Amino acid sequence: MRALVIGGGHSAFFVVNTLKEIDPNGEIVIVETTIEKAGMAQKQFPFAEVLSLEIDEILDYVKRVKNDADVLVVCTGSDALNLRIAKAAVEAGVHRVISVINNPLNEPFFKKARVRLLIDPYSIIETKLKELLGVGLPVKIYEGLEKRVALYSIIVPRKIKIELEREPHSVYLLAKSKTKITAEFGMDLEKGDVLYIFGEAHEARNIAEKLSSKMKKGS
Amino acid sequence: MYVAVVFPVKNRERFVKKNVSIAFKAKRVKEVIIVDGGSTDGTVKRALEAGAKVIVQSKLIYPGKGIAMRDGALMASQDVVVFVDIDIENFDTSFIEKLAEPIINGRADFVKGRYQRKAGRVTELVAKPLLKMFYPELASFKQPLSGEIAGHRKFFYSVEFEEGWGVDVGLLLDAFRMKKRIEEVDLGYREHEMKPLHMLTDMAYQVAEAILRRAVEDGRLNKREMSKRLVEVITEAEEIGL
Repeated sequence: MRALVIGGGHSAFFVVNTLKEIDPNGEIVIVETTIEKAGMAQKQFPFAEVLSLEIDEILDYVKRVKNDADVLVVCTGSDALNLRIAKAAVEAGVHRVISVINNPLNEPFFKKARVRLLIDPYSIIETKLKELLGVGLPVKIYEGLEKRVALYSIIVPRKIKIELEREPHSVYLLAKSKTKITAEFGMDLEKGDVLYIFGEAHEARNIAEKLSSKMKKGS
Repeated sequence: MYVAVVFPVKNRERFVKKNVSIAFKAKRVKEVIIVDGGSTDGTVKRALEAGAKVIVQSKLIYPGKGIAMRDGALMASQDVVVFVDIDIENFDTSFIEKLAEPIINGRADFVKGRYQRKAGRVTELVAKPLLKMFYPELASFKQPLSGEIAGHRKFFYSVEFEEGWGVDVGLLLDAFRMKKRIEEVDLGYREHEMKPLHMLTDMAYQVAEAILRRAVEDGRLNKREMSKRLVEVITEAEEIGL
């Protein structure tokens, strides 16, 4: 795999190390705008090729190498720059464009620019808080980057019998209490049990929302 | 040579639609960018309706004006970038045109706006005395903290933006240190809201820090003297009732 990483700071550290783990023999090119940071990146990642380019040069470079890169990951500290580069890469036809977003509020602007593969490091805050405190709420614990699969959990707020109207096509339900784990499409749940819904992303979300709504109604 | 206008904003719904529309009417303006600081009102919606490019600043810290300005400069794709505050009641196209003109005509690389009114308290009691002490070459600037700025887009790539209130004076100093041609232009009269007193303390510290840090780096002040001078300036400001 040939990966192009734009940015040489904090996020790039995790991006580059993970890319190396995914494909130890792959080629990684890091592009950084600051000469000092480029020097640091070269020392930190001796296995990678590091380029120091100005912003306008990066835009040209991305267009030039669009057919050579299997993936482009944009991860600078500025969402404005990430959006500008990622948008240019998508428009140039780069095979896979992934952007890290520094501020989750920017997600709609990336999607509007057809940059759909987004990594939001801050989403874990919402997930973990709701997982710990959000009784009765459907919590998205995991969603694949391309949104094909998802895992939701709901802390059961009261004793309830759940039964789905029909067996889902591609979703599994699993309930965990203090003493047992049950995997059925209809089950008796106690207050404090945790219900997990896993499967195709769209259907999993629909079922999680329906069950959450049903649990809230009687509470 | 075309112009991008950047408005750093937070909860300024009342001004956004009108002033973005005005900005688009200014000569050579091809791009208007709103950098939002996490508004909770309809600022972003109004900006999109008015046809602006919108981005939320990458870090939501307060004060984060410098972060917003940096994001704005990085988003801009025109040759000249003009930064203007959005809460100007009597805003018109001349604000932008006057700021961009010296750059378009090749007289300057960096332009600061000034207004026909008394400069603010932090300007008079903190910025000007410190500039006079350490950068006397810049002492003639009437409003070194003005947020109305223009420059070549690539100039903004080469400077490090202060995150908070020190950004405006920091850019002026960096332009000077990089030997850029700097011009101060008169923007006429400006109606805007005064900042409450409690906000000025933080502002005073950050402005002082931006100037003094550069003075140390440039060998115009040693580190021991820096703390002493900072205490003197703040004490003087407090005695006067800043």
